[in-house]
Amino acid sequence: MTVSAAKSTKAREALALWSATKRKTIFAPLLDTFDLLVRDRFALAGMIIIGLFLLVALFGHMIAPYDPTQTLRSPDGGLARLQPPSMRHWLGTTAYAKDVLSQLLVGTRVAFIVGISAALVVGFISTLLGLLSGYYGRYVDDIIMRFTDFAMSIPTLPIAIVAVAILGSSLRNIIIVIALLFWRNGARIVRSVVLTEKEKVYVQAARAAGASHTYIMVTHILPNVIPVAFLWMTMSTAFAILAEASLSFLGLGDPNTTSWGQMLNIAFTTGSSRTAWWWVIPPSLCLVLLISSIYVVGRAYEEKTNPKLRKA
Amino acid sequence: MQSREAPSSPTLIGRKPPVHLQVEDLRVQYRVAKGYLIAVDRISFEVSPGQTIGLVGESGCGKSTVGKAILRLLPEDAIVRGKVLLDGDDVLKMSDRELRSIRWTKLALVTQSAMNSLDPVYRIGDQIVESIVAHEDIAKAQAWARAEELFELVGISTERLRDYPHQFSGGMRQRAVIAMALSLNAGLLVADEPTTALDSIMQDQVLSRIRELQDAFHRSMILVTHDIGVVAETCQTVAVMYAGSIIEIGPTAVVLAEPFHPYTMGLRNAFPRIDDERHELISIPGTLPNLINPPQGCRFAGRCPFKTEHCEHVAPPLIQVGEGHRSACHYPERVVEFRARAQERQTWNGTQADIPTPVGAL
Amino acid sequence: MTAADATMHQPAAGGTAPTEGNPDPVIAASGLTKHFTIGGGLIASMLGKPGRVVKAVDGVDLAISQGEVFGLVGGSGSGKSTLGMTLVRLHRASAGTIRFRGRDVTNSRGAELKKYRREAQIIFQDPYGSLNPRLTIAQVVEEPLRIHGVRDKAERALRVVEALERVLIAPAEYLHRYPHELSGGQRQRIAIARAIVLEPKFIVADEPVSMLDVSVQAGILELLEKLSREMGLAILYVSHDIATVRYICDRVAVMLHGRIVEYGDAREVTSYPAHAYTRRLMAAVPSVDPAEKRKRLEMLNSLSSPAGATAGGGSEWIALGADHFVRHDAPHDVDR
Repeated sequence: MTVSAAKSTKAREALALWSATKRKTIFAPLLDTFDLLVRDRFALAGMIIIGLFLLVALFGHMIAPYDPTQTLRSPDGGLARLQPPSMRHWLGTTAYAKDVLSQLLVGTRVAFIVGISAALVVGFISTLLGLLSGYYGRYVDDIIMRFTDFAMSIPTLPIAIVAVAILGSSLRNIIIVIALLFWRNGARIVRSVVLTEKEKVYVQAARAAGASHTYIMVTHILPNVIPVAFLWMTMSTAFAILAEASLSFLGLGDPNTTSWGQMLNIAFTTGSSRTAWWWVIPPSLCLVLLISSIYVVGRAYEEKTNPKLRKA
Repeated sequence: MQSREAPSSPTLIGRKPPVHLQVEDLRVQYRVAKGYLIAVDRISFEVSPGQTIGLVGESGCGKSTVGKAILRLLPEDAIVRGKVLLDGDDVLKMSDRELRSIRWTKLALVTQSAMNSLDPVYRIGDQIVESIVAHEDIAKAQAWARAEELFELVGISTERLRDYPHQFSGGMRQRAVIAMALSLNAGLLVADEPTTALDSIMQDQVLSRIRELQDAFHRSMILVTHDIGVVAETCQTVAVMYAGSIIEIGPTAVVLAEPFHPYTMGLRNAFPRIDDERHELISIPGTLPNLINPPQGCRFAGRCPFKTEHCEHVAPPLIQVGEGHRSACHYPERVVEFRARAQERQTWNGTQADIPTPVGAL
Repeated sequence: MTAADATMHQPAAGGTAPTEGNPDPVIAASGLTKHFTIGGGLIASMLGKPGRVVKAVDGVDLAISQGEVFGLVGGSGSGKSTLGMTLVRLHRASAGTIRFRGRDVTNSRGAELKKYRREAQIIFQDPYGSLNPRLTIAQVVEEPLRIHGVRDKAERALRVVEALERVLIAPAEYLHRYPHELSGGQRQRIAIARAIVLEPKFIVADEPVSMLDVSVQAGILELLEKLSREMGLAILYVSHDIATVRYICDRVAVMLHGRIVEYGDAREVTSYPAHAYTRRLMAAVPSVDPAEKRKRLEMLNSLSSPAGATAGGGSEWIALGADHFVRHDAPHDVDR
């Protein structure tokens, strides 16, 4: 056998060995913790609840008995206003003769849209800024961090109110405003993880081998950043839903959409809050349930990924 | 290069009586998915007052576990059996309160990572004084004087007592921790790789100081390390451990000059000898066997160049091979031949290289 | 070594810097200096407290030839690790030059620096931290190949397998494993495989065995020496333990407070240490045989001091032999 032929047989053998190796993807840490999470009873309950809400968000409009915006009439011909729960309206009707249950179901979708979109934007901005700031250090870090400090000194809700009032209350604007307020802490958290990772010896080794900054950030640092970023995004989802509900409750919500906060807003502004319990309690309960579930899952996830928080 | 005089100040005179430690049939196991991981398998040895014994072996042989078992510092899921008799009282059966009263006063511990366990928000001097005052009824000023002397002992200038841990280099922190461990004059000091983080000059300094203290004040010590050079310089007795058992034990000078067990011979070969020009560095190929459901016969058989069928099936007991010297090998009568062959490189080439045993089994 | 031999070594006039007398070195440093500033920063400087300057490496001259293993010995804080890291450009030199095969790489950037990085590699002290725990052994060793654009998967596979075989790790058994499944010694072999996979010309081994069991050290040292011979590598072996130097090093330099104080043929320097600090290092080496150690200490105590010799021509080096030089300065207090 010639040298090159021998080499190519060897190369083929090597390649065969190579293909047998399994590697972890960049998202592997998330999947691993998912297994652990399922075993925690609270987290499991939380995930089931979120799952149910998610189903409603996806298919709510199909199972809703009525069009949430449609003014309904009662069998005797008059407007079906403020009717308590009955067989026809399981959760009763609003002061404007709209079905509460249908509104509730459709409102779920709004909650998820706001929550997830805001979280994605927050995640992206936090990760980007935290990564750049932590990795490059010195001037870049100084500038970004001073900017973050400044941003953090701005009180969340008042500014949100002002911003939405100025920009106009559409769902898109609300999402943007929320995202722009929640990236602050996220960036700090990501940055501190990056600072730790940057000092690891294998990062030095990669540098010495000639790796570019981008390569190091993506291959060595990002995998450890993702769990943290993901955690922050989870928490942000909960906060975003709450923020949207708050804004809507204050009357700054998107008038074209039905959200839980919106429902509460109308209930209160029509003065029906004391009497129409079927109108007030369901959306409140849904908010509490969904936000708490997200929070519980987030906390369980944090406990699983941060060994120091685990009870021995 | 000249030895310093042993400190004779009143604050350092060991007011505590020397202790006697008897370890009997100590066993430590962990329950793991595939069965039981046997970290320590029936170890017995004795430490008389004033005696220094070294526990030598490679990483994972169980030596650190023994040290921690004696101090009851193992994690909760460790299954510990046997007896550890400190002046006749079984440490393994003591209540938390009894343990607290003997820790630091009768038993003290220095670990490799101890330098990272210093509290960063308190000055080092304050931390030493605090631990002294917590266990002894002496005035703070006296405790401080003792801390100063200890710092002198480990070669750090006493004004550094007012510094915080982060102002010390790694080596200095380790020395400070050693000073802290010595501060209460405990009768028995368990030192787990105390000088591994130090460079050779600092190691030499610290070891000779510890040796002086031992000699002057009749303290006992168990020194756990992978470095037989450290043991040779500080311990009168050495116990060589392999895969959870003691495979050779005896007076250090004798064991190192005239080893009976092939593993001890191998360890000696691997040790760099600056004084012997002709010495070749030979390492022992292979790694520790699987400690989960371990093999029947001699644990070292897989890597031993002199193994026989018998070795693979029957575990050799520790038998007397000299005065105070025991070895766990089936063939003590062939020791002269073994010693000669062990010095040749090709003897060790025949053994199995790199057995792929997953090390992270816990 | 006997007392009689030691006194036969009379200092000769004149001396050469470590870089002279070396015709075609793979790597050469000249006046290499690295300073760190502690404290300081913009505001502090404005307030008049510009921070302390620590001279980790203070004017070092060095030259290593192809196939040579050059030992660099010193205590902690001597600057030896900093020197090694500066040579592979993990630190930027504050002053002085680094020449790699004649090219000045001291301040290279971009593509030029990457080219240098292909030929100069480093092995770190910590086998537990130097491998990314999320990557398989295969990924760890192939990383330098990917960084330098070796696109063909088959070629990468081949080179990784060859590198692993060179370091005596069976590829079939270990390619798919993760670092936590390996012992310290095995991990260090993987680190070495990673360092040689690009077939570099120069490797800095920064205390490669300090964190390993003594029983495992021999194997790694033997491996380094073998690779140096087989691959013609120039290796800078950094260590605090002068005892290991004799086994694999051709030449050795002793470093103290950022400067080289003695250098030369490894056997010469370890047999007839001239500088007080070198003698201190030799005395500190533990020994399994107390009788041998006593003899060694007596020997060291009895060696004559070179301080009385004259250094010709204003050179700072005193030549004690064909390849043995000690720095001519007042024997200062080496205690820290």
